[in-house]
Amino acid sequence: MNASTTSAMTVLVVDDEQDILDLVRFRLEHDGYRVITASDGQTGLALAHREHPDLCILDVMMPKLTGLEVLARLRADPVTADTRVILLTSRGQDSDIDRGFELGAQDYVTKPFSPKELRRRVHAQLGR
Amino acid sequence: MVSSTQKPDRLRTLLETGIAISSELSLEVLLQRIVQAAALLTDSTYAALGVIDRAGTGLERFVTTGIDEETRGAIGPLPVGRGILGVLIGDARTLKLHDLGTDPRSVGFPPHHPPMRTFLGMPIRLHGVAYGNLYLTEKTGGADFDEEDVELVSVLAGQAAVAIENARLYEAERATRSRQERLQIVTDIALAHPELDDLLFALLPLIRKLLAADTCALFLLDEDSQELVARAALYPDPDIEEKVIGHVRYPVGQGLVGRVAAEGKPVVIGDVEHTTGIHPIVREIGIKSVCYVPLLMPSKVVGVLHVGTLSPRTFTDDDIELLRMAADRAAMAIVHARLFQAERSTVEALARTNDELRELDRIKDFFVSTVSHELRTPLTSMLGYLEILRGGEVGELSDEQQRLLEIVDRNCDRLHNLVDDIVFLSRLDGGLFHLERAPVDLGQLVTERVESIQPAAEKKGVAVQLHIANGCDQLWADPSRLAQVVDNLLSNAVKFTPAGGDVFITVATSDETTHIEVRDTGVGIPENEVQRLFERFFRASTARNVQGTGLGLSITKSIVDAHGGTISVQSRAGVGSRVTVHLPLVRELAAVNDSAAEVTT
Repeated sequence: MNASTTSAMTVLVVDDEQDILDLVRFRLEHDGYRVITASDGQTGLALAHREHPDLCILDVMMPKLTGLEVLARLRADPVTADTRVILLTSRGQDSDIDRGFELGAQDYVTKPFSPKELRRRVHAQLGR
Repeated sequence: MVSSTQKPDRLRTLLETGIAISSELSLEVLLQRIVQAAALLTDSTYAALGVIDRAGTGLERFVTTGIDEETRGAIGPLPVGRGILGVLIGDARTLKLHDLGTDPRSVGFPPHHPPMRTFLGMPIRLHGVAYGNLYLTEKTGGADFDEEDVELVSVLAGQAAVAIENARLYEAERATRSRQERLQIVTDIALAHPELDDLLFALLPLIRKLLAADTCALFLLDEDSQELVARAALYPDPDIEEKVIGHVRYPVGQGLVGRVAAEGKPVVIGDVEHTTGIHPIVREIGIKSVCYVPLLMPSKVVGVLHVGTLSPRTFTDDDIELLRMAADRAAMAIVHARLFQAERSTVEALARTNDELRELDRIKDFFVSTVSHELRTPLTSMLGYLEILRGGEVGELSDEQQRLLEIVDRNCDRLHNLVDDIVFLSRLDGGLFHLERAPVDLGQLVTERVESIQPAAEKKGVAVQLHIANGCDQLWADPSRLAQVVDNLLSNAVKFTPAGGDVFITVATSDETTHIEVRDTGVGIPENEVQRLFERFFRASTARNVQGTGLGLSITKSIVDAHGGTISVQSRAGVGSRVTVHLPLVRELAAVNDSAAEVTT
């Protein structure tokens, strides 16, 4: 798969920090993914339901709906119940990571993360 | 003469009287029986028994037989020290008279006393103490009292003495007991009121009642000013109480209150009017007599307690003793209350400090989690965009641009490490730090860490040499924390070793422990600073020109400690340093280790 493929895989990124959204978008678009973003959990859930992306990258620490709550709702919605999820966590928040796996997340990356490292994890989830 | 047939009767009467004395009859009834027995046994018309009061100034009881109530009532008070009775009591002699009327000593009987001719008088004494007298008159048939009568009466007088003494002992004991009971109430009150004000409020009425006084006041010694300050008072007029409490004060040694405190001895004032050193308010209240006692603790005077009466009163030694005993208990209670108060204020102060510390802790936790989140998020952007920039994905960079961005990158890393260190320490302090043990191949772990530092070491011109003497491939430890330890020791060694120097890292395992040693040929640490190396934020004087926070070794030690290991440093300034970490081989977890190993293999 390369950047020009029209059937590019879709990755939804949900983070309340616009700079992080832009960073992830830059990295993954350069690697040929279609990237859609939301800056809050509610919008993210609506987008996920409508677009059913191949992968969701969820920031755990968000105001209002946290990444873990978004994950739980994704799993409760039949449309997104099987969507792959990578969590963005802070180092040391082991309980969040444990809870994330319980809720059905596939992987996690701790902040600050290297864009290349994130790319590796995304590739791994999407079979590249 | 007494006929022989009368003898058994007499003996029986004596015996019965004796039995009566040893049974529980009131003194009045007993004495009545003794008098009757005496009259009966001696065939007397009239018998009387007088009991002298304790002061020896008069008769407290006068029991008679042979006369009617009216006659007896007319006798009136009998003298004790004069005439026949004086002889009986004062001289302690038995007196037998044929005709009392003609005897020159027959003075002192009141005018209404029945006429007497034959007379037998006997003192009532025991152990040298005079209790009274017993006398008989008018033996039937006009005969004189004989020796047998004397003998019989002396037995009865002896019994009377025992009866009176018993009664007095019993009364004294009852009085003591009741006094002790009342004093016990003082103690109980003291224990029940740990608050000084409550205590005094409850104590004063009790002491006033105990002494049957009208007023009671308590002065406490102010240690700082050495003054006795009125702390509590019970006066008929509450307005005066208010005027006195907190306002009337005497320096130690001045006024009666001050004198009692200075001398530590009770003072009794029978007549307030004619005494100096008494506060005018005492007269204003109308107090006539006062008794002062010091409030004493074993080594010092705590204050002064005094009771007063509105009518003149002579405070007896008993009163003083009672007040003194009450004062002892009050003093103890006051000291107790003060200790309680001091203790409570200490506890309250501690509780306040605790609250403040808890609040500080909360602020720190908030700060740390904010730092953790709010610094890591921008760091993610900075490091992420730097990586993209330096990767040339948005355009080729000149060498100069690369060099400058490398500096930005390195400083972002520093900031990142600092955030990690602070978060680590806050978790450690909050008891949130736990090891996640797994089987670790120590040789492999150290090899990887050496590989990771090689580029930086080479760049600096420092050679890092690894020697694995005896690796431990199944160490039960937290792999990421152990990597942190090795990274820290290696980066320190490289950091403090000048170009051309060497860093040696050795791993060796014995039966009991495994040890990691990092040795360098760097700047070293002055001997007197080695002890402080593991303190947070401590930086050796030889580290001035090298970047660092002083947290690394402290964190390293915490991780080693958590593994049950030890860490030590040997160093010489200008020569180099050697850091040795010993980690125990955890045998208790061998089973867990094995099962984990099975899963991984």
